Amino acid sequence: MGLERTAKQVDNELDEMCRQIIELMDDYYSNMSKLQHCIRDGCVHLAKSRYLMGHRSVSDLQLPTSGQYTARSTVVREEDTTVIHLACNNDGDDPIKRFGVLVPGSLRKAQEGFCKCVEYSIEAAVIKAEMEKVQKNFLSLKNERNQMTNVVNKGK
Amino acid sequence: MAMHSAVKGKLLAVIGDEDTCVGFLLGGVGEINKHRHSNFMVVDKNTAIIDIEECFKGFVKRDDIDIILINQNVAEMIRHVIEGHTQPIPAVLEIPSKDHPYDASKDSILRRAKGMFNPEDV
Repeated sequence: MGLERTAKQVDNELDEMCRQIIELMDDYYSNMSKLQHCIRDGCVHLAKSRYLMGHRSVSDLQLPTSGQYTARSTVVREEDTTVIHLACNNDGDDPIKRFGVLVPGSLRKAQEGFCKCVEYSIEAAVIKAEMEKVQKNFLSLKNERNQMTNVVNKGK
Repeated sequence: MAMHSAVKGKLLAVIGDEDTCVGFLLGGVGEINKHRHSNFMVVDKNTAIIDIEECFKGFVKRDDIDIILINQNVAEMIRHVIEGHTQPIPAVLEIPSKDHPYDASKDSILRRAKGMFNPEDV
């Protein structure tokens, strides 16, 4: 009787984990849709800037290749949790200055768009970490449930 | 989203096409450290798959990188390496690009999650 009740509890926990993972999958997918929308808008603004400034003025030639260059956007992970925060360091130069002093508004809009992309990416990483945690717990509980079934079958 | 200022955190790395790398650099994620190692790689049609693999493995080994963003079409080229990475840190995110929209059926994390509902995969 005791074993049966425990098995029922385990089944309920497994159901709850399935519900959680479906919700997380939905969150992850909608987050990726927002990210895709944001990347597309950012790329449109980059293309407008390229049209105004010349195609070599907005390209990989503006990416840093030598010397030390510090990131302005980094991430901070909270210990023992899946939570990640965006950390902004405003000490270094604004990356937009690599593209010129008087840049068009479209490049600023592209920058705003890709800053949002960074935020959505961090949100996606948090959801992904949560999904991995639930999956791991689900598999160990599933093994436990299988062992219970084996014990019951041997007893018959 | 909560922002922490004046805290030296870990980096986001980017492997993707030119626009993705330029865009995320504009977003402020680009860095070149004192060993002259960058945290981004521009992939074009001439880039060899072995170079992408080496770059990805290099990012995974670095302890200052927390998240690796990789275009989904580039991730498809090195799928076997990505599937082999099972550690939670650095987190690998497959992101869409301007030419390749997001396809959930190819994303390794969603494929693994769907496997929970398939009795043969669990």
